Amino acid sequence: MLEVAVVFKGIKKYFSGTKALDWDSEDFIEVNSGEIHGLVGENGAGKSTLFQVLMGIYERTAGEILLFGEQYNVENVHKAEEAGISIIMQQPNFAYNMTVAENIFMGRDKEFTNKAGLIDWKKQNEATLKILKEYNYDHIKPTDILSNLGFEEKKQVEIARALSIKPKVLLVDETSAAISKESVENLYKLLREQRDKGTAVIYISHFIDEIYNLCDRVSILRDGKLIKKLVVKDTTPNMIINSMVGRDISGNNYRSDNSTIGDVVLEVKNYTMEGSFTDINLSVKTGEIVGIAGIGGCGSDAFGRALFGYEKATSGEVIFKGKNGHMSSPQKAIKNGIGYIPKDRDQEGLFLIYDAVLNTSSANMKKMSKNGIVNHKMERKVAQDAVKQFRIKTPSELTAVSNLSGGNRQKVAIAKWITNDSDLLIVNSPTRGVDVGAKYEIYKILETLKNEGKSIILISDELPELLGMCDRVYCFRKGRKSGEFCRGVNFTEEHVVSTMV
Amino acid sequence: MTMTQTIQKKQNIMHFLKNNISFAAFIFLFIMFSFSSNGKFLTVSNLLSVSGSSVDLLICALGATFIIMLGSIDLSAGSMISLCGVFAAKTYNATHSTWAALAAAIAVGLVFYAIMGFAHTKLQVPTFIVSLGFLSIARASVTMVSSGTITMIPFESTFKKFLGLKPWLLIIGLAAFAIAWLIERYTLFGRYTRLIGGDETVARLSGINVNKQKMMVFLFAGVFTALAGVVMAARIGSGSPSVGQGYELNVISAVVLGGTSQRGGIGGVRGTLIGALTLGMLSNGLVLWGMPSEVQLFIKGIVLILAVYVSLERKRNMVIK
Repeated sequence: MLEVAVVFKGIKKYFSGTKALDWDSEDFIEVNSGEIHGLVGENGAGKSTLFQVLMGIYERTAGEILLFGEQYNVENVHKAEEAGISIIMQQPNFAYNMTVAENIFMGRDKEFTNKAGLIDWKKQNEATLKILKEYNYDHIKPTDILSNLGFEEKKQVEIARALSIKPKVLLVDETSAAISKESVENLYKLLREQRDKGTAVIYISHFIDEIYNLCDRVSILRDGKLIKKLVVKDTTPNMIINSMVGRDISGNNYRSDNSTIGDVVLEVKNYTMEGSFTDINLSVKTGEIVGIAGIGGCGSDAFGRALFGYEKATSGEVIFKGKNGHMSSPQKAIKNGIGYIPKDRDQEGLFLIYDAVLNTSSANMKKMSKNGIVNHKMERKVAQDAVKQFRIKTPSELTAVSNLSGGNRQKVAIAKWITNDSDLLIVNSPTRGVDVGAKYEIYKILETLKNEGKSIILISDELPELLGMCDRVYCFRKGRKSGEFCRGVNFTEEHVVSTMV
Repeated sequence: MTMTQTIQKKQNIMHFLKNNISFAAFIFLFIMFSFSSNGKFLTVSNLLSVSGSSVDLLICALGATFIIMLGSIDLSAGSMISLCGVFAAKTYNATHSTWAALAAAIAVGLVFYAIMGFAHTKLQVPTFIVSLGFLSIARASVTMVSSGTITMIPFESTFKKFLGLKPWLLIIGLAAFAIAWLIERYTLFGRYTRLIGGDETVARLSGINVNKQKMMVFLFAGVFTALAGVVMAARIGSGSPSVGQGYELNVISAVVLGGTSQRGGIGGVRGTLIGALTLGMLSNGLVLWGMPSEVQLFIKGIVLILAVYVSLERKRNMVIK
C-alpha cells in the first residue's frame, strides 16, 4: 500500500511582502497512500499555505506538484476536489443560512438535478442522512440550518463534507483545536479508518502528542523552508520541537510560583444570562490568574463577554474594585480597567485590513492621543516594541495583518490588550492555533502581568494550559459552576476533567 | 536568485499601479485632453475654470468621504444642496449678510443630517434606505419652502463674490480640503471613522462608541454638504429647488474614483480631491470635444462602474486567509 500519492517539490509561494513558502528547488515531500503524514511548524512556517496551494486556493509561485505521478495544476477548489483531494479547514466555511444537506452537496448537486434543472431535495436529504449516519453524526439532521448548530456540530458537518467526496488525499488543518475530547477521539478514529482504506492523510497540528498518536512520518517546516523529514517512531518530541523552533525549549514549566496575590478585586454573585449561564458565584483577586475550564456550550464564553459589557446579563451582582461592576458597554469596561481578548481573533479581535500599528493602538486611543489629536509617533513605537517583544513574524509593523499567519495574528490581538494596561484582563483561548514557541512567550507575558498585580481570567479548554497557568480554576458545565480547584489541592487533569464533563 | 528578483519586481509594479490607479487615471485623462482639444484644454483660464466648477462637488464629496469610510452611504446629497442653497439665498436676501446665509444653510444641514443619523443609529435603518428617503423628503421640503421658484442672488453681492467667484471660490475649496485632510489624518474623529469602517464589530469590542461616532460623522457631512449647497447657489447665481438632481451620484463617483472603498475603511480625502478634479476634467474635456450632454452622462456612468471595480480590486489585494 505504499503508492506515492502526492509529491511536493521545490515549492515557492510569495505574497506581496511575504515569502510564505520558499523551499530550495531540490526539497521535496512525498506522501504515500495509506499514511498519516504530519506537517508541523511554528506560526508562519507555511503549513496552511502548502495546503492552500494544493487545494487550488492559491497559485504557487514556483515548484512542482505530482498527484499519483501526474503533473498537478488546478485553478480552484472544485477542480481539486474532482481530482480527489479534500480538506478539513481550521475555520469552517459554510453558507450559514442554508441546511446541512445544501452545504454538504454545495457545488455537487448535479446528481440530484433533473433535465429541467430542478433539484430533488428529498433525494439530497436522504443522501445526506446516509453520509451523516456513516460517521455517527446522525444527531444532526440534513435539514438543520447551519447557523443553529453548535461549534462541535459545525465541525462535524465539515468533516462529513470532506469525507463524502471520497477523497484519495485528505488534508486536515489543525482541526482538533477547540473541540471536545470526545470529538477528538472520534476524529482520530475516522482518520485511522481513512488511512486503512488507503487514503493519504496530511495532518497539520500544533500538539506534539497528537503527532505521536497519529502520524507515521512527519515533515517539519520553519519560516517557509522545509527543515526535516522524520519517521515518527524513530524520533523524540524534543527533536521535533527543536527543529520547529530552531532553538532549545525544554522544561515545560509555564510559571514559577510566588505569591503576588492580594485582595479580592472582582466578585460575582448569582450572575445569570438566560440561555447561557446560571447563578455563577466566583471571585478574583489582584495578582491572580483564575481559570475557567469548560467545553463547548458550558457558558464560559458568554460569561467573559458579559463581564466585558459586550453582552447583557439577565440578573446578578457584580462588584469590581469595590463599586458596581456591571458594564453596559465595552467602552465602559475599558474605562474601568477591564480588557478582553476574544476567542475568535479574526472576527472580533483584529482589523484584518489594517496594519499592526492601527490594531495595537485601537483599544487604547485615548492614551495614543492628546486633545483629540493622534500621536502617530507613539503608536508606531508601541507597535514596533510589540513586534519585537512578542516576536511577531511580519515584514514590518505597517503590513496588513491579514497577510500574517494565524498564530502571528493572535500575537497582534494579544499585544493590543497588553498595551492597554488593564487591571482585569479576560482572556479566551489565548493560544488556540498557536505554536509551542509562541505559546511559551504568551504564557510568560501573562505571568508578568500577574506579577505586576493585575488579574487575569483565563477561559480555556486546554487543560495543561489551565493547570500550568492558573492559581485557581473554576469549572463550568452546561451553564453552571460545577467545581473549583486550587493550586496544590487535587490540581490534576483527571479531577478537573471529571467536573468538566 | 534572479527568479526571485523578477517575481518581486513584477509584484511591486502591480502593487504600485493598483494603489495609485486614481492618480494614474487623472494623469492619463489630463494628457489625453491636452493633446486632443486643439489647445483649448491646456490654457490657464480653462484649467482654473475647471477647478472652480469642481469646488462644490469637492466640498460635498469631502463630507461624503467620511460617510463612505464608515461603510455607509448618502443618497440625499443632491436634494440637500438644493435645500441649503435655497435657505442661504433667502436668508441673504432678507439680511444682506453672507455670514447669516452661511449659518442658515449649515443649520438646515445639521438638522436634516442629525435626523438621518438618528434614524440610522437608534432606529437601525440602513443608511442606504434613510438617505434614499431623505432624497425625497429634502426635495419636497425645498419645493415647499421655495414654492417651486428660484431665489436670485445679486451678482454684485458679497455672497457671489466670496462664495461663487475666483479666487475666493478656489481658496474655500482648498481650505475645505485642508481641514478635511487634517481631520482625517490627525484626529481621533478621523481614526474612529476609519476603524468603524474597517470592522464595526471589532471597533465596538475595542471600546469605540460606534453610535456616537456615526452621529458625529453625519453632522460633519451635514456641514460640508451645506457649504457645498451654498457654493453651488453662488456659482449659478440663485437658490434653486430643482438643482442637484442626480448630484449624489457625482459625489459618490468622486469619492469612489479617488479610491475610497464603498465597503468602508479604505481610502481618504486625498483620493477624493483627485476624484473630484478627475470628474470635473472629464466633463470639461468632453464639452471641449463637442460631446452632447447625453454622451457625457453615458460616459460618467461607465466611469463610475470602472471606479468601483478598481476600488474592489484594491481591497481584494489584501490576502485574507
